[in-house]
Amino acid sequence: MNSPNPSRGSILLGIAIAVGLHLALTGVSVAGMTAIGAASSFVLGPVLAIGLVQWVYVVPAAIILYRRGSTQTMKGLLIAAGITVMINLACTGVVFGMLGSSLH
Amino acid sequence: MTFPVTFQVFGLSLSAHAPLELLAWVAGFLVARWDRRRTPDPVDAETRSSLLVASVFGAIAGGWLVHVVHELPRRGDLGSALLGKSIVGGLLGGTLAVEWWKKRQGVTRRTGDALVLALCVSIAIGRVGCFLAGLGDHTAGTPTSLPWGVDFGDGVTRHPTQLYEVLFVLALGLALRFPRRLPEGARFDLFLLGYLAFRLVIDFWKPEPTMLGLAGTQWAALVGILWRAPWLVRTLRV
Repeated sequence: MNSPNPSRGSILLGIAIAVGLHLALTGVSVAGMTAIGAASSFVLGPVLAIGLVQWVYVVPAAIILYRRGSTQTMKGLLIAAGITVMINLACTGVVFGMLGSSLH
Repeated sequence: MTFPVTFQVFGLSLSAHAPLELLAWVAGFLVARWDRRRTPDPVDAETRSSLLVASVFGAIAGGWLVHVVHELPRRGDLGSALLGKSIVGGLLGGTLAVEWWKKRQGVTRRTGDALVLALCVSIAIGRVGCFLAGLGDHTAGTPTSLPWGVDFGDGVTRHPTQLYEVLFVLALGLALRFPRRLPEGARFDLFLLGYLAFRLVIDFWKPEPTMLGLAGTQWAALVGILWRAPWLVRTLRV
């Protein structure tokens, strides 16, 4: 599963790309937070709703990888994106204790 | 211990739930890799990766649907019932998605055995996160006077049902390591049926809203048992 294949890529690379893109989003949000001098839901919203927001960059990245034939890398990206949705689904509301999210 | 357990990140309170859940996924991935080195995979790498994608998205759909069904009686309105997920629903949705994809692709080998230990480890770590999240996670048990009862911050000592589940899945994972000559697929079926049966029982010790006597997750567990038990019977007969 993790052997890099020049034509198909690797799962781990796809996961790494997803993590890198998430960190970039977080970096932009933190930079915005610093620039305005306080926490703001407008700035933090993209990070707290990352399970939704991520598709803005994950879908184009997946299309690019597919067209290049890097199907394994694309799958790694999608797996990481799916796991991001699951983590975000239960944890967003708990951060501020405002929304009643839960895990059963 | 004060509940919920939180970490301070950039001046914000972050529930311990999120990092523990992330750790659960990473640990599951590492355990699955380690396990695959010991036992040959019945499918090739590309098929395995496609199955993983199917299982993840099936788990999202199943986990969310069962959560909504479970929460509706408590919340009363669809809007506030939308945020969350269910492990029972995730396992069932993931399994269903994999079986659907395999049927479409003509894959006849049973592919779940390789993930049993990884799933047990992931669930155990995730449930520790649920325990640390306290009452807001809606996974704590009913009041009890037993000596191991836990006060999650409201003055009521409750069954730490999350920890009961941690002990159960770890024991299940270990128990399923030992029988070496099980037919292909039996290990996964035993894991799934064992976990669903556990949830069907343990959820009676959670203060959950019920519909006709069972909570949403219990109904889902029951449906899962009825769906999967014939699979195990067929597998063991081969």
